[in-house]
Amino acid sequence: MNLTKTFIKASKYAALVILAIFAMLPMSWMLLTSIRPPEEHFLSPPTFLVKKPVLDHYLKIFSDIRFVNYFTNSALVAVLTAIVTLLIASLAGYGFSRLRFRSKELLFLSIITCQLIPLMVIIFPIYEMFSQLNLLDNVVALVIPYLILTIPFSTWMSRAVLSSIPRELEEAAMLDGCTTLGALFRIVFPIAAPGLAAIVVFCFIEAWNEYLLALTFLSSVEKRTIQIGIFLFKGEYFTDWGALMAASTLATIPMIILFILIQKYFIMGMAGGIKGS
Amino acid sequence: MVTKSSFNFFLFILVTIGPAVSIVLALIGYPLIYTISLSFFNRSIIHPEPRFVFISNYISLLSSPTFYRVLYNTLYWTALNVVATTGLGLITAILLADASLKGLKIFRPILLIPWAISVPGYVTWVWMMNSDYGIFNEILKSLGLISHYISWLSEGKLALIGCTIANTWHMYPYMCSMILAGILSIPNEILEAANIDGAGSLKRFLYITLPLISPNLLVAMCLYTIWTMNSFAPYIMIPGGLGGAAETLPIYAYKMFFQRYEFSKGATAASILFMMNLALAVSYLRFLMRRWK
Repeated sequence: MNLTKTFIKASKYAALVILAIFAMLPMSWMLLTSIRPPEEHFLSPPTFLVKKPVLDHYLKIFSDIRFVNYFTNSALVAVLTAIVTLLIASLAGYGFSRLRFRSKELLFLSIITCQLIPLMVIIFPIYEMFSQLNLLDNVVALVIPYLILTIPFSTWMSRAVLSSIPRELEEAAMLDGCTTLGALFRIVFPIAAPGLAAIVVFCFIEAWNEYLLALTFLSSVEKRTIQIGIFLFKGEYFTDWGALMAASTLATIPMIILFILIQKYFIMGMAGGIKGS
Repeated sequence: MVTKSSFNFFLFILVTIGPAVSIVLALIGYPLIYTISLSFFNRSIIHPEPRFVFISNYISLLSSPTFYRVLYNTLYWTALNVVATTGLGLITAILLADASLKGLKIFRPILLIPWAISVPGYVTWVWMMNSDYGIFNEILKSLGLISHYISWLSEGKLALIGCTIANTWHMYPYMCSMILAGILSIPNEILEAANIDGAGSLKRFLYITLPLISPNLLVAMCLYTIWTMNSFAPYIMIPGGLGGAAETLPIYAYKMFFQRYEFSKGATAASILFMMNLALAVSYLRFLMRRWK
């Protein structure tokens, strides 16, 4: 009896370790390839061992002005998307959590439903709209379609975060002479700050990782985001795997750091339906 | 006084909820109607002036063998991913919810992190699945699962399976966390009571845990099915499409829109995709509302 229990427990740990290896495998291989000298890339059979680690691929990327641009573009669009989404979604979340009016749930549901609309049904008209307004190939304008991706889950999350803050706090503030908006910005938002910060991080991740809209809306080489930019090293006949994996590693590191920061909110964010591109 | 406060109230709704609703309407409502109506017209780079053709775009699409290949790929890709991701997510969630295990605080971020890595992850999988130098092949071979290296992404029959492996790696954390939320919300007393009544762990899982997490599971599976159907992962991994072997409906529509400039054909394919999603979306919303009540 005791032996079977030990066996079951050991196999559970074994399963966890196998899953962890599966989860970490691409990241490890990415990192290993990025520090391997070119002559070690095409070994048959491939090995985890790196004989002569080099930083050449990273130097190649840092000295390439296009890549500096790609990272700046990605950071710019991700930061702007996060800020604009926070402004819009936290207000909406507040409205949905505090106000009572007819058809409130219907409005809320209609915002949530937007996660279900395939991008393919809306991408072409938005492309034409942007082309008429001269907004194509503009990194800042990319924020506008990104709002479609971020607003639904952010509204959901901020409603959940703000609903957990007792109404009495605002009422007390208003008795002390605060206006409704004053109470919102001085009392409610500061208390909700950790939850709202998680929303910002999720929006940042979502925008940083986005592929299809960036591919479609940005056409000139220097205006790409990093997700599109890394394909510069991937050719039909030859691929510079060292540089490609170094660029991928650099694009991945901020995501890992941010992910660890918002771990606590991960389940909540997922419940709000964050796709993660 | 009453009118003033109700005016204020209205203004407050407008200020708080107004921006979100209007952005969503402008960026989703209008384009949606535009695309669907475009599918009833004939417009392309050679015919820039739209001409009303009623359903002839649908007729020509539905009578072309290409469409059925694409449709088959879409359903095959979706089914593969939903099964693989749900299975892996379920196993991971059960393990991560097991309070008798130590070190879960370390395992949890490690197991969930692939969700945060998208395009670089897919590209790395392309490299790992390389038919000559891919470490994935080498690992499978040294485990004795395959006898020789497989060209995962350059053979028509295997292409979508290869993409599924990468996509499952990226998306199982979503399924896992949705199931985990369900398991963790089950009150301990219920499981303990079942334990006292002599139910083994398999019975407890089948008769208590599974029914109690099924609302979460259904919501997650619906949403995930929609996402997968619209996924661009095969395009990221195999941009050429392998002569159509790795082409699903959204990719087909995208190529019509932006590479072949057959706008109406793209709109027709996109509208069909939308209708396929609609049925799923309705059941998603029904499951969601049932969970709220």
